[in-house]
Amino acid sequence: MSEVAQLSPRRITDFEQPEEAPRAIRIMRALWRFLTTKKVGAIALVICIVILGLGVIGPYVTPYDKDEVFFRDNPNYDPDSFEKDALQPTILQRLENPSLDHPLGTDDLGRDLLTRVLFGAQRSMQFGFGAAFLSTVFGALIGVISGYFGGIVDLVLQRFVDAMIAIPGLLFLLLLVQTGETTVTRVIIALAFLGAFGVSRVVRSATLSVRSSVFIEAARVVGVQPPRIMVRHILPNVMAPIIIIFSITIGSSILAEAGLSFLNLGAPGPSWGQMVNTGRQFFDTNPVMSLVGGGAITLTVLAFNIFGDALRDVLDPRLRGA
Amino acid sequence: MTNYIIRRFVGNLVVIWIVMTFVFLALRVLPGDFAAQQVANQFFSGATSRGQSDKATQEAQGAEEGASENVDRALQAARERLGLHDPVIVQYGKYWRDIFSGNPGKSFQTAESVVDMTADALPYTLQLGVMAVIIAALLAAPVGIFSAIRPDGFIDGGLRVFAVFFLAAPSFWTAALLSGWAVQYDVLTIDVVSAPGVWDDAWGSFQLFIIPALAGGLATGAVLMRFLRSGLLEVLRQDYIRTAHSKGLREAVIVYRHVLRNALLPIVTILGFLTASLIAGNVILEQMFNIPGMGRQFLRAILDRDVPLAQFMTLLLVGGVVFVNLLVDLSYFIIDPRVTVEGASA
Repeated sequence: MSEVAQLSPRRITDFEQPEEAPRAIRIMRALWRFLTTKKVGAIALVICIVILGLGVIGPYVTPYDKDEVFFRDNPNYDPDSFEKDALQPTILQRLENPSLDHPLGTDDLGRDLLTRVLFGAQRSMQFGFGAAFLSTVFGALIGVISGYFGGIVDLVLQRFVDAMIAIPGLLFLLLLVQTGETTVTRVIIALAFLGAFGVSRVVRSATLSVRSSVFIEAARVVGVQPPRIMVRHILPNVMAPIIIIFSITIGSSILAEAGLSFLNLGAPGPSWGQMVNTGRQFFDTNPVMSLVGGGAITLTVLAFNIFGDALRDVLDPRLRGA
Repeated sequence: MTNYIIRRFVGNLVVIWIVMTFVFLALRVLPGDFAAQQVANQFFSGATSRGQSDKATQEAQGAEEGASENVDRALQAARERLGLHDPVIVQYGKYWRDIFSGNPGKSFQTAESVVDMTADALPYTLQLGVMAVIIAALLAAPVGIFSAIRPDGFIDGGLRVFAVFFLAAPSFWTAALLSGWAVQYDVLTIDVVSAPGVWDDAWGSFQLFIIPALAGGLATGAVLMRFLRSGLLEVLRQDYIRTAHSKGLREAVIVYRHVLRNALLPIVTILGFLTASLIAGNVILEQMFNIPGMGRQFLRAILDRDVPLAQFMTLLLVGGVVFVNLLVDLSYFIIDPRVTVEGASA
């Protein structure tokens, strides 16, 4: 007994810091290991970075504005004609096929489709990263508290999480989005709530497996307060599942937002989901719009999912199939 | 065991109570209510049609000024009629009283009983759900099994790409492309106007439902296939499979007798999720193909602030989801005798 009492905090600190390379070098090594062992994951990572880059700089490098409308000369122009079609000198470039000026053609209102796809990328990245970040923070908070305290706290929080998960996703999103004017911020917060409960499940189960570790017990014995244990001892040890779930939540948030935009219930502005919806009405004359909008969503979600899976295999193989 | 069931049952009731309260509050926090929409339609559609000549416009303006009081009064009356003027806590009390009395009210929009409206919508959702699940199962079972018994081969790789693709592709996109091509090449006659159920016109209904069912089925099938593959691989690594191989059993016997049986557990877990999505209906696909199922009705109820309908559908959907999950968890005890209550509750 007396030996335990003599264990000074100083010695525990010594024990916690084995000799290690500096953090930056360790991260670089881990990244290199990832890129060399997970070829598909590495390709997916490159695609993710490219899409992120397009979303960040794309809207600033396009020569056109997202709402700029294009006209061309009317071949039948005749001011003296009685035909309505011939009276206007120019006509709207509606649903044009791809050309040099407009690499993806134009949409139903005569706007450049490529420009709108790039603005859509910007928007999807805002939704994806914003919602994934917020839902990971919020979900990790619930998960760690629920898992660490257990008992009645866990019971109450988990019933609440069960309830929120039981509501069909899109309708849950709609209830939150409709609380006011549909803005980008509001949609991001709604998406964050939608994702947070799933995140909290994963973090909770990871916390449960860490909670009974000896080092947590040691920290408790030397009188560390629960908030500090959770932040300094549990959180670093459940970081792997948190990073994995973050990358997967990006994809699922983009997908959920696309569904909302598809129904024209999302925030205003160019969006991939809405492109699919508008494009399908003109599918027989110009399928480009529908194909490009849906293709962009699929490629982005695919890249983030595959990257997340590869990350999981490297960081925490036990989560396979979760 | 009985203790466990009772605990889970009470837990489910708590979950339903939380969801119902959440939806109740959310529908009241949302700006605008059905009374306001109704009164707006009643007054302002009339005012615009009157504004023909200048004189008439002036009259209309005068009438509108006088009408503002009328509007207020009409709004009051409509709120009172719909029960929206009570304090929230009183509405909450009435809401539960109505549910327990077995008469959960009438839809604001159609003045029909919400029970009847839900009963009308349910068959469409079930038809779409069942078709989607059949497609998903037909797709996932052979593909998942094949992928697992010959892992990391060329075909396994291709099939996994296929699954990962449909996991990422939004089902509304798949449906948009399929229906676009089907209409262009005149493969199907998609009757979105009358939306026939299979009980009205089997062939017409099949043509309408097949595309949303395929789109939903491909997305669900991709999830199912992944679970099946990883579940099977897990079992294939076990010692008793090697034993079975070494005592000379045929491959087919091993797969069907030993592997599939033991891989059933993760698949059953997914069944709960599948049924949940079946009951919930696919909101977007129903909306897209104008199928008057529960997903679409629910969406419209929220958009129209049709409080009684939205609340009743919530009760039914969430109740269905949580109790199917309970049944799934209980089925573990039957499927796998090794599962214990301690393990299940952890």
